[in-house]
Amino acid sequence: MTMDSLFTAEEQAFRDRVGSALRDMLPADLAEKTRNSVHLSREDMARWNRILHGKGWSAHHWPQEHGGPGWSPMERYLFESEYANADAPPISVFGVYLVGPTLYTFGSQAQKDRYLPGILTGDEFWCQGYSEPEAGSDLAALRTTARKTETGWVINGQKAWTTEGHFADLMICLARTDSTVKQQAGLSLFIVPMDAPGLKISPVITIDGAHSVNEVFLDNVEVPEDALIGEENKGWTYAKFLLNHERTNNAQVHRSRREFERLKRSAAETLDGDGRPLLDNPAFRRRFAIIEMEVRALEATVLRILAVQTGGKEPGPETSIVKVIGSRLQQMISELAMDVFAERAIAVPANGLNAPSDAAAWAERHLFRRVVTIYAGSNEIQKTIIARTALGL
Amino acid sequence: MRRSEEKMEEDRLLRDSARRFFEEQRAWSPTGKHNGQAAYLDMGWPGMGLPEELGGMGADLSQCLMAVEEGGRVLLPDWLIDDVALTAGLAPLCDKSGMGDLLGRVPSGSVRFVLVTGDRRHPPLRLAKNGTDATVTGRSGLVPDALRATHLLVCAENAEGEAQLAAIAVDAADGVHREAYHLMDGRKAGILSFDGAAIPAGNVLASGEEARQRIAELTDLCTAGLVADCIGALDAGFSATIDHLKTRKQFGQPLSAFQAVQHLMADAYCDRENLRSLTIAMTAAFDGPADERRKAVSAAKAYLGRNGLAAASRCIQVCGGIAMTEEYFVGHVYKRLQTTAALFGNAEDHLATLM
Repeated sequence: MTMDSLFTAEEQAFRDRVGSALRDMLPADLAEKTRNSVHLSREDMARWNRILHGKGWSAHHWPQEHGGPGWSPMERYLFESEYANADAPPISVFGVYLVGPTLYTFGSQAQKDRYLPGILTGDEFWCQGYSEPEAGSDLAALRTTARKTETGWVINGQKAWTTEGHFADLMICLARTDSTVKQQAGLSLFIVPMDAPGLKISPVITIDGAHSVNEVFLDNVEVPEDALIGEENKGWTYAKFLLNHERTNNAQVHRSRREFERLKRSAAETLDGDGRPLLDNPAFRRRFAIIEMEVRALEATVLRILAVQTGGKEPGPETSIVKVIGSRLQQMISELAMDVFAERAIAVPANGLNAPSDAAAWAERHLFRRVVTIYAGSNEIQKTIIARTALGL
Repeated sequence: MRRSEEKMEEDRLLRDSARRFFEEQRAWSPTGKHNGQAAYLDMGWPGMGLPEELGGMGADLSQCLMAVEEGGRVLLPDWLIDDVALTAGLAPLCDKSGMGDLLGRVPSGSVRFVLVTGDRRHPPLRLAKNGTDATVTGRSGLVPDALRATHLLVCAENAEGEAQLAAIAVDAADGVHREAYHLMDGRKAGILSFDGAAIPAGNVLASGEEARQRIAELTDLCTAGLVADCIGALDAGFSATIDHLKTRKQFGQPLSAFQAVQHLMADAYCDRENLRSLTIAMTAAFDGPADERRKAVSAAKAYLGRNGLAAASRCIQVCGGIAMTEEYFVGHVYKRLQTTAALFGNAEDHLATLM
């Protein structure tokens, strides 16, 4: 949002400072790749992660004592906004968003010393072993087991939808350690090296034609005693804590704003059948206006939550809505893109010489975006949570 | 969006006293007659946004809109948008001819301004200056509270299309006709016709660019007031709906146990919370540049007309047939929002502003 009145003078100066630094740091080829593809390679993400780390910004939401810059919620918001505006590539989320906060909150000192540096530098990549073929939305029904041995644990089972598993070094794995108690009370969190004997991985190709997710099979995988994070049978509590940790991150508000502005430019450069820019065609104009309104609503809701956090308070139940509205907005934008690019978005040259193009990138994004209302707790699960916690139904 | 601790404490006191006042004195009842006759005039609210030297309370816009919102909770039949929201923007006009004196009488309620704008689907109101006189011609759009106003702030254009803002005392001017209208939600409004109404040229408070800016800001204030009113109405509608869902049983269980019902309400909740967020952002935007203020107001008003109204509609849906009856609160919330959605530009008008 361009509303300077929402930010203090110091915050505006902060925004300008980090924005210009980000633009200086970002290699042009990485910005180009960010615009033109949905899934980045490990090499590209690691390269950018190292550059960010050089500035101390690779884990921008971490507290200072663990290697983050220790920014306020509003400063993080502004950094994320400038980050998106610069077309900086997303870095792998699992290490920075999931594992890091889990370890510095619940992990042992030895675990923090061993694993946090690799996350900060981007030298070690993580994946998340939560979902299973029989445990999707009903995560607590998972069947992977971890059995205690004299030297550690033996893990058996199968994980599904393991994003970036094919190039991760380590997995944070939720497994059942007690099957005699209530489902949620018998789960524990483990650190599993992806090269451990007995671990096999096989690719799953998604409808966008890309390989970003995998199946992971764990067949008598042995891990040492200290692979357990925190206490035995507390895994569900830790996983839930994490879900609440960076709630506004789910909104993807900055990426949506950036993509929307780029799509607007494309619509200004594309002519309709009457030779006028699509952006001036009344039907398109109205759709852009509706999305402008929706983007503003999401921005306002995220800022409202951050304002509460800035005051040192826990935000109210309104935080539960950002996943639902943010994911839906991402889809609305890519749906509009499909109409802006029309036939150009659905066809590629048969000679295989398809140069990267806006249309192709939007098509890929549009297809992959079907997932955003499913992952991270499907929107139906979210609505049930809203009804229960926010409305008391 | 961020308020100091001190301001938040003031806000809490104001909200509590407003809510108590409306619930005790002006609670909604199915007969359409509000209980109690105490007027918010007694609370000293008219002109609460005016500075203290003009007899106001020096409340900021956020607090003025909070008072309006609390009135919305009981579906108050009186309009607060002019007495509270509009007057919050009138202080800069106090140097203009006669305005200082008039503004000083706003807090007591003896002077009541309303903003009179043209009908969006018709030519604008015309104001022509002839030496020491000026004449106004044309027909206004719906003007909330037109019938109780003592003074009109008329938004017009001259023959060259330049904006003109004029103050007209209703009693003093010939050629001003008021037609009364009942609105869909039971509130009253009027349409003003100016049949070459003659006023002293000194009553033209601003012309050209200055008038354009003033009119834009005053229009935005009234629009903001309308949105705030609906936030209150929708909140109250939600509470009533949720109470109903917990008590009404079908198939042996309360309606609240059905997931289809829960998800409809979750959707409505998303819309309601987004509307509230947009209202907060809109309020903050009054401290910023005019263009951004305009867009923030339009985003909130358009959202009200689309998503806010959809949320109220879902409340009717989940309550079922009872919400179709005149006796039930929830249907009246819908009518309040539908009525408001059409005033001061509907969702389509405001979407057009956003692009």
